[in-house]
Amino acid sequence: MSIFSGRAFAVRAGLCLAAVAAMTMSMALPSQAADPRQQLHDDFTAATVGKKIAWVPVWLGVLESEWTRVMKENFEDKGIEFVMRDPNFKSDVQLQAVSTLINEKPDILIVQNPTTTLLARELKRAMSEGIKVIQVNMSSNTTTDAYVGVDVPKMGRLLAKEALAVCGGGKGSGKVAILQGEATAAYSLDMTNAATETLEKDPSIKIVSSQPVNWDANKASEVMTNVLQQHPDLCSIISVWGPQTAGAAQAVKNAGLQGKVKIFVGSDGQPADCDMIDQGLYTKNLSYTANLQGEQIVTAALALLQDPRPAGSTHYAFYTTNYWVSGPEDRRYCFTVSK
Amino acid sequence: MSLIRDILDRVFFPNRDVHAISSLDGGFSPNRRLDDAEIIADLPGVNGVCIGENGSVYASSGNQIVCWPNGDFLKSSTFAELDALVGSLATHPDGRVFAAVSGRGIVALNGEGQITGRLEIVGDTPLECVTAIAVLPDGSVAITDGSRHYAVEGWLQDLMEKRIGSGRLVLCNADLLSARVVCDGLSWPAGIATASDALTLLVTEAWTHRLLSIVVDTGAQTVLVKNFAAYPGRITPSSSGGFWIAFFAMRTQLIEFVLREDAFRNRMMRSVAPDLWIGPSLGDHFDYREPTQIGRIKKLGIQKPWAPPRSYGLVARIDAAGTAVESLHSRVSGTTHGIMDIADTGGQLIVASRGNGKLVKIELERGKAS
Amino acid sequence: MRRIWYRLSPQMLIGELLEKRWMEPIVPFALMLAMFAAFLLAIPDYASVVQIQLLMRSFPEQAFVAIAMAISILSGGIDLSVGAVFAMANFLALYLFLVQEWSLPLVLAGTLAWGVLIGAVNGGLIAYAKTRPFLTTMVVLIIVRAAYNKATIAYSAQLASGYVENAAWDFIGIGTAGGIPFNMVCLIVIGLATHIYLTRIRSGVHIMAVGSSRKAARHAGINVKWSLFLAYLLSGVLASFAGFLYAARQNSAGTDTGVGWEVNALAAAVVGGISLSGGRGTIARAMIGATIIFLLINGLVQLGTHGSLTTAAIGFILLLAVGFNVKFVKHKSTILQKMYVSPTLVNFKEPPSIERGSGSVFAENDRLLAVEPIGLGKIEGPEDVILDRYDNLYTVNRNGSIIRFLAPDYEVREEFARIGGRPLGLAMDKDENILACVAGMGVYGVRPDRSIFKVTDETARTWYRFKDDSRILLADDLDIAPSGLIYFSDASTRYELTDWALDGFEGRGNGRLLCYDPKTNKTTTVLSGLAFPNGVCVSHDGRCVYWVSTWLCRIYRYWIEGEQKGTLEIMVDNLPGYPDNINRASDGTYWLAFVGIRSPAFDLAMEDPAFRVRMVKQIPPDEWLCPGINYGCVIKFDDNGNVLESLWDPGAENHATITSMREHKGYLYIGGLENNRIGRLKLPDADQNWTSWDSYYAKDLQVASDVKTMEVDHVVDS
Repeated sequence: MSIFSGRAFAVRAGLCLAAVAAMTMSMALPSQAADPRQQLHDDFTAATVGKKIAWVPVWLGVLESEWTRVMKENFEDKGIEFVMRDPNFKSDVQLQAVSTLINEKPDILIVQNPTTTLLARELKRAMSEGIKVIQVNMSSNTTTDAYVGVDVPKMGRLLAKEALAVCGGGKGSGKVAILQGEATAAYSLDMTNAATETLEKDPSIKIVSSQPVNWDANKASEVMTNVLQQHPDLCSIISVWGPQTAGAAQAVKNAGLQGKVKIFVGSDGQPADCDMIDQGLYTKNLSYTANLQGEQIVTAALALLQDPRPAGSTHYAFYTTNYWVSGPEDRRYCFTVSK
Repeated sequence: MSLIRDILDRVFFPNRDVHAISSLDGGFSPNRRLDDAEIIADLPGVNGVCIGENGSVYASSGNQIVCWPNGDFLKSSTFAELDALVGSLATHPDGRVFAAVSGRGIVALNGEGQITGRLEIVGDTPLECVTAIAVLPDGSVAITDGSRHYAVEGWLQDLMEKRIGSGRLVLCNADLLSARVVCDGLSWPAGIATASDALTLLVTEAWTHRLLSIVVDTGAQTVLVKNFAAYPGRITPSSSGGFWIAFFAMRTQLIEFVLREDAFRNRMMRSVAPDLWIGPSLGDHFDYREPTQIGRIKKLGIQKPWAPPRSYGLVARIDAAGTAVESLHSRVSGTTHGIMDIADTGGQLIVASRGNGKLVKIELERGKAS
Repeated sequence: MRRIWYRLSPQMLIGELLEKRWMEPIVPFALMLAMFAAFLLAIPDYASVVQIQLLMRSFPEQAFVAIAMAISILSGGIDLSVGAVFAMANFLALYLFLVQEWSLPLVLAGTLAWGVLIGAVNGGLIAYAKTRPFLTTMVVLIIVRAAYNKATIAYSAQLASGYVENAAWDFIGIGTAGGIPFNMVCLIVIGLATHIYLTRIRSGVHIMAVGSSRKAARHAGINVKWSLFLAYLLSGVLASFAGFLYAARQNSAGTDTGVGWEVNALAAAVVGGISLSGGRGTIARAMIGATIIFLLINGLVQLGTHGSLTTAAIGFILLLAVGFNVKFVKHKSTILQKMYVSPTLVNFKEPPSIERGSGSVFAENDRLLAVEPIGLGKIEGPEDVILDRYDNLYTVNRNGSIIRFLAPDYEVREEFARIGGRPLGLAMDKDENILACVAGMGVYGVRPDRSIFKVTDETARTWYRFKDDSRILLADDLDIAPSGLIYFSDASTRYELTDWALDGFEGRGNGRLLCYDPKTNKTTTVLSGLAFPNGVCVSHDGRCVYWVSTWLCRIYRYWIEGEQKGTLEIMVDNLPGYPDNINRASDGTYWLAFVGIRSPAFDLAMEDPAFRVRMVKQIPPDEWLCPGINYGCVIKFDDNGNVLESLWDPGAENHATITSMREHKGYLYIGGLENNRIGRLKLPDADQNWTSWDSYYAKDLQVASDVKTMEVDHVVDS
């Protein structure tokens, strides 16, 4: 099936290319004089059409699927070849996929790093091979041409401030639990560090738990059940990511503490997260709106394509704006999943 | 491939014989009882046997009917001599003996062996292949006509030609008049007996290896047993309950295979003498040139009893449901092959071995009634 | 066309191929190639140098883990902990290198020490505490995995930010040696070493033996516990070495590292065709399996397949492989048997009549009725008989011995010598040694003092056949030419004696005529492609060798002297029976035994190989048609190819088969492969002093005896 769609895509891209070529030729001949708007368009076309962009997420979850959808729609619209490789949460496979793609020499490589180290070396190699690299949301130890995603420390601080607001200064027990994602993933690591720093400024706050749950709701549920047994007076939970928090929220609900334990979540704005808010299972949800983020990835890619400088010369950062979701009225900050 | 064919067969033709031949186990477990039996008489070409009034035993052999009056096997006499091969025999309560005559039909003989009646044609079709006769409780006579294409001696040709069944079940009154066809299109019906309820007849169908139950009035058939391991022949009520069936030859995988191989079989029938065909045999002839199978190669001069049989001796007693209760065997190495007929005197079973041309007698154990 | 097809018979080639042990992994191997080819077509630049390099670089760690799993399976158990051990080793290597900043050799040593430790735990529990491998290694898997998760969390920050520039480390991770990635070089070297270890080194072979049958291994004196312990130790070390390589290459210890690798390794072993019941399989097969799994995942990802589909595909392949493995192993012998028998086309004409009173020379008669039995019930299968100059009767027995019946009444039976195998045709040389063709062994001799010697047991191998035919499989009959050359037949190179009727069913030229030269001690193949050559007999004048093709029912003449030397001709064709041994008769003609009588139905089947092929496929071997070898007779022919007479045993009551007869001083002695006696028939019209030995060697003695006679005459005269 994927082979078929890949072919269909190639054909479509080919047709598109041919059409554009025909258009430019027919237009170039009669009017010699440079029309500035036409010139702009021509330059854009020359920089983008027929280029190849490769994308390797950690896997195709809801978030990644949303990015992929947005990218695919946009790039196809621009006549850019877009390929996606799904390693399905296997880091060795992801490394292989990235290595292979580097050999295929796309113009831009977009990656989501599962850890800070896994792809670091390969990304460096990619840039030395002339491939511009965009890292999405989860970056590596290698700085590349562009980063699109959350300002992770800021997000951590924002979440921590919310927790401080309800638990700090002697309010409640002052006990806060942090649910990390994957311990060695930049997103989780940096957010946890920033939140911890912020929290520790208030001496009345006690961080009773800060554990990675590997993006897994079941694991989060286990961890939170244990924490609640030891600290039934827990005041607040900070979680770096939405879907994994569902397990924690369920544990809170099962312990009969729903509403008493405030849950602040960093979220990509996937619909389930907003549902949780609606049901009162999360207290507040800091959405970075994956769909908009997808658009930003596209923007970054288009910018890099039009930038004549070689790979590795820029260090753009496109930080996402975060929106608080605290009730049904904020539904607009969650995207919808097309069936 | 063959598996798929089997599955399709079972789905679409539930009544057709399954591909595999059933194995000889349960009531059909092999033994030597036929070979251990006492020989009553050497009678080459023996075909039918039946019990008359006061225990007289009649047996057909060639054109003759031999009689042992009062069941005394020391004295025999020729009861009648007819003008063609005599097959199945049956006695009527009024003392008459009915005899099947190959190519002619059936005749009724009085106590002195004189012909008193004949039935030679039913409808427009001559009755040339009478395989079995049974007298019903009401005195009427049921007859099976094996095939329209061959007389009784042509049984092997009829089997190997694999024609659509053309055998009939015929019913007439005690005077062999007003005959009517109860059932047509049977595949070599070879034996007949009245079931215990007197309303149905049990009929063996040799080429489809089945036992049928046929309602006398309507001709409606029910299959009682559908996959005998041998070709069933005559059937007779047993004094210990149920019925005796004589099996005149065994099915083998090779024969079944050749029956599927139409091209080869036709070539064989054209170019090879019937005695040397790959096919069942009654065991009544010997030839150096008959086909051999790997398992039948003699070892140290000994024929293994479990070798694939060319001829075999088998009689089985079945219960009302068609399940074998007991059986008597003469295995491949045995000398009582090609059982054409059986007669139950009440205490003894008399078995006609065509293959080895003899009548043997088995004392029946009492109390084995089911 | 049809004839050529059946003669060349691709089916036979495949059948003989399948019989080869090295053919077992053919299916996985073909699958691997097919998969590579498929991706080659589907993915552009799949076979480019860089891409191949990349594949080679990504593969070795998985292959190592698969080998580790394979070794545990080959030992008869399973090691589910390989994935976790691998992950932990990966962590340890990173930790020791990045956090503790040990030197590289120490890091390697430390990592391997971990493998040894965990291998010892596994092995110790399984071998010495007799715990179940599955449960034990599963528990170890869970414990190690948990420890790994704790450890990575504890050191996540250091590991995430640790980044050491070290040339040697990078060389192990991403370096190449002669264009081949370093880790691939490791895999090749260690893979080969492991293969040699398991197949050539004593303790490795012991692991395989224990896997095949623990009981048998114990009976053979193998230290079963130690072997099992070693297997798990090796498994642990290999898995941890993979972890070390992985650490150098990936520099990353993620939560997913090694997760599910035990499943992939198990899949690799199964897909590669390693028997889950142990003892059967090779390292190469594990590699093939691992390659298939690896290529599949890699290829599907490159094609942009959704991750869940990739996983499903692996599951499906695994299921297929397990099914195939189980079915194939279970039915291999049946498949082989059905594939192996490869009937060919033989056209027969209608033979002369054997009907009693038909006037044919072959007509059935009662001439063997008067045969008196010798050794009735005291002999099993006297295929051939021979008599010495003192009238003692020698014959062969099916237990591998030469039996002697002492003259004059042949009541006393003694075992003259025991050769083994199944002795068949006999001959006596000038020194009165008995030479015997021994099925399954070759040609052997027995001296008058009962000592046994080997004449020959092999010839040159046919270069174009898969089946090794250098050994003499079914030596059947022999004779000695005046030059001392021993001519003998190897009746079939495809079937053993017990299956000789199958050779007839096949009807193919599987046999050959061989010649042994005592001077050079070499055996050469004189004629090959013969349908059961048999009945070798040197003519009275010593100029030609008569032999028969049992299944083609022909007598051939092969010239060994004179101007026609080296030519072959058919002397009698279309015999009504299957000819067997030929021996000289006193009147200058030859006796020939018919081991069986042809059946027209079988002749017809021989003309239809497709019919026979279907027969082989559809019905069990016991039910297959075969040549009619239950009844035999004896005939006589002369040097001009005229058949002179036939001798029948009606109904073959006494002699079920007749495979041989030997004339001696007015009697004909009759043997049969499946008889329980030797027959003796008085030949009133024959030369009552003629013996076979004299007919071969008396001429040489003639000179000597003539001199003696002359001397006697001289004395009388004077």
